[in-house]
This record gives sequence, structure tokens and C-alpha cells, in this order.
Amino acid sequence: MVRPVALLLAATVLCTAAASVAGAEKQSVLVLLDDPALEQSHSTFLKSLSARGYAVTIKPITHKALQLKSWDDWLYDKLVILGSSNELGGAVDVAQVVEFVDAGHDVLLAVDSGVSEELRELSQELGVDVDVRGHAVIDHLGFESQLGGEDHAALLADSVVQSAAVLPGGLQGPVLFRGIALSVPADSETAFLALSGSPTAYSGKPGVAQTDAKLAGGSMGLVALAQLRNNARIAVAGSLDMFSDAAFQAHATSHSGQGLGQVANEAFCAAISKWAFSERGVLRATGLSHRVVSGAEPGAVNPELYRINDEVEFSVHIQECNEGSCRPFKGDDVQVELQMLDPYVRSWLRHDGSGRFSALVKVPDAYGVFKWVVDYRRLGYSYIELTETVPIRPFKHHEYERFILQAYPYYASVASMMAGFMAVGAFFLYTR
Amino acid sequence: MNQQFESVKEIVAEFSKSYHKTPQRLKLLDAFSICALATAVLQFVYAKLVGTFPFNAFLAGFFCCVGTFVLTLALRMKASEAGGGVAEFGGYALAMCTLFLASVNYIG
Repeated sequence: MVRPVALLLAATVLCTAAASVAGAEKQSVLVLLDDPALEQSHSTFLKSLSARGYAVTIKPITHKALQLKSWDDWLYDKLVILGSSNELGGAVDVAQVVEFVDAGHDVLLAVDSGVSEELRELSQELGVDVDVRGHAVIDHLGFESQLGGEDHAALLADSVVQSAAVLPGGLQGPVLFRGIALSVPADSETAFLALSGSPTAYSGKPGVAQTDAKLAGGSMGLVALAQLRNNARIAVAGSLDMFSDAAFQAHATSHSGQGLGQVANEAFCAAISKWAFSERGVLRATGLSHRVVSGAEPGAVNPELYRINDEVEFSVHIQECNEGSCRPFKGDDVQVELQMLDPYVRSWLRHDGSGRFSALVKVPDAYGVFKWVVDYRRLGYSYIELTETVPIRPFKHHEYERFILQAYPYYASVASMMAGFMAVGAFFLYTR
Repeated sequence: MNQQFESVKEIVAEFSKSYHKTPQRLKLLDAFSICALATAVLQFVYAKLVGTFPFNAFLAGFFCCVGTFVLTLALRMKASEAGGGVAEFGGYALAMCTLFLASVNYIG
């Protein structure tokens, strides 16, 4: 009876292993299009997704039978919405996309000036505010003269986030942008601007004179990225056109008629989609271990307890994964804390060049339930949050130092009191 | 002033004269308790000079002496009454043994 059960178990394990390997090989992307024509006009971008190894499914955003999950299984790993005035169709709504993100999946959302209320709400739920419908980003001094000569709403943007994880090597040329402004709350812990407006850009209605603008300059976002607490990633772009074939091919001409060469849209869109789909700037922490160097049990690896004032070495391996290849991470600002509610020790983790980060720490002179905490959050990189609980105990009764030289007078005093008691007692009892 | 000094001298002389009549065994208890007190004071001075490092040892030694002093005085009070305090010696011995046990444990 035992054997068939074991066989069945082994078969199940093999099947799930095979399934997970197959799943790791090809992730599925659902692309929702506002207009079927976008499949033609944005073909280079959509093909680049398939070329990067995704199984791409393209559907109209208003599709009646649209669904992201079937019972409790998510049907897709990533979601791309090239949206505008249409609302989400089928079983998909804002709540479900938020649930999709909460499950750790990534979303790339691109909208334009005709953005629907539902997509604005979705963007807001993901941490990025989209300006009101009908507004556009305008720049009277930074517009592209061939495409935006009329309304100054096609502009060349080049202020990008300085992060090697998002844009390695920076931006080669300006990004052609026509669309709506975004904003990220100043106190946002998750979202940041990947492409922001030039100092002369503002958000307004094209062709209408206006004296003030709520969104303007460098604090106005054109493309925003977010790294959520569960390491799911979001990209929100205020422009649909920047992903189009036409924009990928365009040559920029400044408002003064000066040729600026080819725009960098293709490289920029590839960079933000790679970042948003967790292909870049992903940190993996493995092999957390700690070892007593000197103290109660020298050499003990991952002991259950430390004794106060032990000297301990903490180490962890961190790798940085970019586009499928993982290399040792070379950050110099990783810290580890030993905390019991408050951090008692905070120490730099030094790496040896091959991804092993370690620190030599003297355990505090306080006992209780302590834990190691590595909490690493840097712009553009996925978060590292590691905790390992190790209680610290005081000295045991027999572990204290004995027969200390300077304590001999005290020993002598107690001995003399004992001897005195014996002598006095005997004398007291046997004399009259 | 001089008169006061004279009267103090008188008191001391009177005291030493009457103390000579005190039984030998009470004198012994007095000597032991004074000795214990002196040892305690010495240890306190020593700890002030050398530092409090083995603080547990200092506490054990110091309070062992103070405890001995107090217990011995208590026995002396009983011994000066009628009956000579022999009956109370059992309690004294038990208290002393408990004190020594605690001191030795604590001295490290």
C-alpha cells in the first residue's frame, strides 16, 4: 500500500517541477489595446515583447470576455494597457488589476490626453496621479517643430531619472512625447519619475491661453515608475504615441529648426518596459548565515542563541539580475542591524567582489530576543528585506570568571568570619 | 570645656572599671563583633581604592561582615540577660550558617 502512494507522490512532484520549469521559461503578457489599429501602429514595441521571450496575447480593452484570472489562477504574469478613452471590459476592473498587482504581478499602463476615468482611477490606485482628461503637456520652448509646430504639445524631453538600474548608460538623445501629465505625491515611498518635464513645460489645454498651471516643470511627470512593497513593479506613461513605430523612427528637430538626430524613444521604451517587467535592477539575497567568531561557542554556524558580548560574523549573498543574467552585486551601502525593537547595532556589510556581504559584529551587552535585519531600499532596485531571529542569553552561572586576584581580600574576609564564628562559638559554649 | 573633658574622662574610667567585671564570654562576643565591623570598613576602603570590579565579591564580603556584626550583637543582648544565651545560640548558629551559604554563593 505504501509503494503506490510513494509513486503517486513522486509523479506529482515531477509534474509540478516540470510545470514550474515551463512556467519559468515563458511568461505570458496580456496586452489590452484601446483601438485595434494600435497593433499596427505600435508593432515594433509589441514585437519587442515577444522577442524578449514573452507569450504575448493581444486583446481589445473593451473585450466582453476579458478576464485576468480563472478561479484562483492568474492567467497572465504581466499586463500592458495601451489605453485611452475606453473603459476596462469583461470581468476586469480596477479592483481586479490592483489584486493582480498585490499578487506580485507587473503592470505597464500607457494613456494619453483622452484618458478614461477608470484608467485614471487605476493609475491613482497604483500610486501615480494622471492629470484631468483633455489636458496635455505643452512646452513653448521645447516642442518638436515638425510634429508639434501647431499646438506645441509634441515635445522633446530629456530629464530622466539617474539610476543605473533603470537606464544603464543614460539616455542617448531626447524622447519624443505627446500626451498627458502625471504627478507623484511628494511623500510617495514607492513611485518616482523616470521622465519629467523640462523647466518650461506645463500641463494645460492646447490652444487655450492660461496664466497658471497646477503641474509644471521638473515636478511634472511624463513617465512614472513604481516599485511596490511586494516588489511588483508599475510603469505609467502619459503618452501612447511615444511607444509607436512613428516615434521610434522619428528624427527630432528643435523649435529653432535645428536637427537633433534620431530620438531615443525605442531605447527608452525598452528600458522602462524591461524595468517594469522586473528584467532589470532585481536584487536576490540568498544564503543568510551567521557564525560565532569568539565567545561562548567559537565556530558555531547559525547557532540558536548567542551569549552577550559574543563576536559574530553575519553574511549574506546578494546578486543583481539584469536581463536574465545574475552577477554579484557591488553596492557599498548595504547595512545590517541587530535589533530588539530598537537597533542596538548597525553595521556596514562589506562585499568581497563575488557577492558575499559580511560584517563582524560584537553582540550587545543586553539579553533578549534579538533579530538580524537587512532592509535595503534603493531607487530602481528591488527591495531586500531579511530577518533572522537569534535570542541573546546572559552568562550562565558557571561561566563567570572565578578566583580573581583583586577579589582575594573579599574571599579572605568571608573565610575569617567563618573561622571566627567557629572559634567564638566553641569558646562561648564551653566556658562559663 | 575643661570641665566637660574631665567628665568624659570620668565616664571612660567608670566604663572601663565596670567593663572589667563583664564575663569573659561577653567580652569575646564584643571583640568578635568589633572585628567584623572593622573588616567591613576595611573592605569598603579597599573597594574605594581598587575599584568595584568584582562587585559581587565585594558585596558578598562586605555584607557577610555586616551580617556577622549584627547577629553577634543580637546574641550578646540575649547573653547578657539571665540564662546566659546558651538557648539562643542555636538560632544564632543557624542564621550565621545561612549568611555564610549566601555569601559563598554570591562571592563567585
